[in-house]
Amino acid sequence: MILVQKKMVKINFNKFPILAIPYGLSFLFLTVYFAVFDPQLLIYQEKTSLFIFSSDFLHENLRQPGGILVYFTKFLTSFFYYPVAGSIIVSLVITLIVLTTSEILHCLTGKKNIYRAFIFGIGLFYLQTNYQFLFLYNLGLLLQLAVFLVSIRYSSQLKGSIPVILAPLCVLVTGGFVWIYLWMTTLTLILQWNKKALVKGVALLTLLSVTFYISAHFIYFQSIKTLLLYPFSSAVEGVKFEVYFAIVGTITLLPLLAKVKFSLPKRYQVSNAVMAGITFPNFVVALVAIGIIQFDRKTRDYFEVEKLFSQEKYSEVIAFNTAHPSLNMLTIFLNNVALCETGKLNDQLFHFPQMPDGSTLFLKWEMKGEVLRRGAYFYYAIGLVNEAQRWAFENMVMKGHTSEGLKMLIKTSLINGNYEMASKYISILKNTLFYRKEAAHFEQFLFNDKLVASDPDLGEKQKIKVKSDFFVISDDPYINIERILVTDSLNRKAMDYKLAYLLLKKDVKNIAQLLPKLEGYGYRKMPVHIEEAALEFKVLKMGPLPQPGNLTFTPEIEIRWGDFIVTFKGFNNNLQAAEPTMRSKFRDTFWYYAFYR
Amino acid sequence: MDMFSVIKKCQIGFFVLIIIYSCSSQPSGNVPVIDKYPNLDPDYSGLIIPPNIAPLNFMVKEVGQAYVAHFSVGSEILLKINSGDGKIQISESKWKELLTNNKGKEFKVDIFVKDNLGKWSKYKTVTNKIAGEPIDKFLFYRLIHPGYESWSKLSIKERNLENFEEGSMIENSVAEDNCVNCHAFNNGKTDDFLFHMRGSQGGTYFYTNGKFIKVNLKTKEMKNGAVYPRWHPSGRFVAFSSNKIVQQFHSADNKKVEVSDLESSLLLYDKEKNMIMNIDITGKEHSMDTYPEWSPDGKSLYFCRAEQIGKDYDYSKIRYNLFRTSFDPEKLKFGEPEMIFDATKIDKSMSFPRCSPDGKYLVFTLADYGCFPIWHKEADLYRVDLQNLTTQRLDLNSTFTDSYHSWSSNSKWLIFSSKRLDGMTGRPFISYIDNNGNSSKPFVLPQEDPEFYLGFLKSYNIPEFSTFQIDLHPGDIRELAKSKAIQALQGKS
Repeated sequence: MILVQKKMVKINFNKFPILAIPYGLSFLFLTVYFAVFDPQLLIYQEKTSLFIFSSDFLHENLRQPGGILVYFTKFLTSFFYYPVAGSIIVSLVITLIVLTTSEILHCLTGKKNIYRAFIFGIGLFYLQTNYQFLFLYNLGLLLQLAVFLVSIRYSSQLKGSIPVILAPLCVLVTGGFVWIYLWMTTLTLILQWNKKALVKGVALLTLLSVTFYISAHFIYFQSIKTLLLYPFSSAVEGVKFEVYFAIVGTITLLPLLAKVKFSLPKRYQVSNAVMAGITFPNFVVALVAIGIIQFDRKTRDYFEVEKLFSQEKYSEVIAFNTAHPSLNMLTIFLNNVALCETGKLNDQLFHFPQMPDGSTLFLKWEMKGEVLRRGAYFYYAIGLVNEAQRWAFENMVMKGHTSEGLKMLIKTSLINGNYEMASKYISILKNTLFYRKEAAHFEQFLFNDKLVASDPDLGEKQKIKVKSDFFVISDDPYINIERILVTDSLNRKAMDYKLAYLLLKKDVKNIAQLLPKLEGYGYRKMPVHIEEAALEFKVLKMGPLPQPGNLTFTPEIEIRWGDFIVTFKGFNNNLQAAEPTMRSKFRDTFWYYAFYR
Repeated sequence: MDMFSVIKKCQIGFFVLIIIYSCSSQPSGNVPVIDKYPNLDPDYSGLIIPPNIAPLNFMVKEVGQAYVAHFSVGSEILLKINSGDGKIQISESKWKELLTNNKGKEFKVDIFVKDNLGKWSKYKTVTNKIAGEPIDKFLFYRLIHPGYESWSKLSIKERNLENFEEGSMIENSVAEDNCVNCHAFNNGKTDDFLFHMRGSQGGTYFYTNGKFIKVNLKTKEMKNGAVYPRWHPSGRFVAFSSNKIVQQFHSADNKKVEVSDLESSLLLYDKEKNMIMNIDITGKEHSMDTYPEWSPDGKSLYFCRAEQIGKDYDYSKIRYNLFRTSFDPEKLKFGEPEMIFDATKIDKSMSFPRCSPDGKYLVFTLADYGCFPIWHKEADLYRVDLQNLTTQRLDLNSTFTDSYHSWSSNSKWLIFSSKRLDGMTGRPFISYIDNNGNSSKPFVLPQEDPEFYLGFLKSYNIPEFSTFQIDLHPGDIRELAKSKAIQALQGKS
């Protein structure tokens, strides 16, 4: 048994690719998981970041220590545009962390033990399953470990100065992540505890202090906090940073842990091969278990919707939401915009859950969080082009360029005829990796009023663009709809939203009052939910029903109303008792919403 | 033959090829003349330029495969520049030589373009004049997105106008991304300098003779904080307006933001005594007074005044007129106000009065209404002759916003913020003001890369000349920003 162990210790990794199997399998598992089951990570991080080939962009990223890491991360994140490429990158980084950790252990102990390293990998996989856990954190950790590995592997080179020389480089490249390297190196030197180590330690701290001083006063004009921590930030909601800190903290203790001699009593000792046979399946089980536990269908569905929405595939958005019902407010918000863009808002509004306060129809102004990035869509849909542009612009100022933000800025600038600004935004989009085609598409509209007017999207928005000037109230989007309709009797999309809001408010009286105006807005038939509300108004004799012109009630609606009343009465008018049946039969109607929400 | 010999021969061959190519890509013989001026971007034609300005690099926006620019004075060609893509970038040293040796003279620019068939053509000659009077060496401005209410990175930059060097003086990134605004110099002559910071590290930062202090100018007696500043020439006082400002967003008309004052008054800060006081001017009770400006001798204070609006005001009916009052720095007393320009009479509104340092002229911005013209497309610059109080629209205006302006210390150059290039971002334009107060065709601040403005999304906000460089780095305010501001005392007016 002992002989086997000795043999295993001497195994040369390059000559025995068999040891690469656990890495290969893990990498494969992670790649498949992120590509198939967890693409939201890739979509979210790609959509909230944009790499631009320009000196300005480079300069902007180099304004703080760690900027090079951020720049490189944004470059890699661009590839998330293709889920397979993205999942390969994310999985590769986690696998490389495991491999590097294992190599560090090998250097420190002289023994190869990949299993300890795999525990860290499992933890990082767990974190990475959260779409908000930035890929940057793992990449930053990987770079620190790689530098530490180099520093200990070549510690005897250049008179032992490698660990010291690498430190300022780490600061410049990886910023706040340098603490990992610093602590690991310091711990290594403390454990060596001799004169040479002491000199190195002093040199390391002195060099870092000088680097920091020069950085603060002459290179990076940042706050002390930024200088010490950037690009690391734990101010991301929903991410379990305590797990990240625990993993990183344990990894930084590797030099100490390597010194701890732990051995099982002889009777329990097994060969590495046997150990592999026992532990690796456990790791596989752990990975699968985490994958299953962390699999979040709701989030995945939301990002699928967002992806379809960004491609302006509105019918597919609605179809997807129909097939995968969601309670997520942002999902329903996007779905409602898609319904409006396809002219079905008041035909299918109640096919999906709605919030009575209107928050699924329009988003209130919010500078932080996810709202700012998406709020423009509603304003764009109803032709309030200036406001759509404002939301997109503010988001750009606060959070930098994103592909969707730039597209909104381009479209609104083209609609407003400001070709000079559109040209600026297009030139930025042109300098990205994967949005050049879209930039070229937009470029053809520059200084071509006719082409803009004839485009199905831009032309349509130009037609309904708000002509009357008023001050927009961002905190109360509904008021803006009222202000549009006061002067614009042709903006059907604004009227759609007004009707939808009145439906959510169960304001049947006002809906009835609007009936005579509908034809003027281009309605050729009453939208289904409006018909339902109007019929309720009529049947319940809430007042004289205004004449809806040539728009008439369809027999189907009257039959369904009869069925609704009969079903309800079948439960002796007991709302609670009738609810399950009513829900199963009528939940896609205004009547059900009016009765039960 | 060894390796080095081969490389050396290759290098020689390469240079010979370059020389042959260069020779063939020069216009020669009788080049046909196209009867139109070349399309240059930026438009650097028909200008009067300072003798110490950085090279006016430009793009030739004509279709071709090669471009040549000849710069000549009289019949002598002083500079020849070749370009494959139309980008004409001039050597700083040669440009400097051209300007300094030819002050007061005209220089000509001949543009030759080689078309896709390989034929050279020449466009009509562009002529610019080199003024005798230099421009102040430095320009300060704030770089900010021309956005609405949010900001991320803000900086106050210092640009050397004699070359392309740009440095940061203030970066809000050292101060928790607070908003920095309203930087103001004392006529660019001394190193009196101030700016406001809003947010967690807020205060007004004064820099005098190398010393920085942070003051909280808002006392408990004050209703609104100190906003728009102007230094008294003595350096002892700073006049501020104190404004209650609202910002609203337009839905249409290609308008974006409307910034209006709900109320405003004037304040005087005595820097020596760290004391702030109300400026009592007759009529202030029913007026909104803002944008103070001192006369160069410090004996008069100009300001803008509108009627105090009521609760249900119409923002588009607010009109500001130009007023002047005398000032006694010993007794800290202000005289009776007199109207200098009645904008209301022509149904307009004025703002940003700025006196030329020689005291001859005052330039202000005129817009349809209100006091924040930087978002008004119709905003233009007007000049008041302070000898006879006649007013004239300056020739430098465009069909887009022409607004915030600053005089050079010799009163010969006016720099102002114009949105004429894209309708949205403010760019600094420079114009020569002659002895009669007339302005020349303005030109945009030159950049090393002539295509710079095409991709740059930030605005140049509050361009201010200065004759000296301020020895101040963004890191210098890091500690001060964190410290508690000195509280100003409330004085009696």
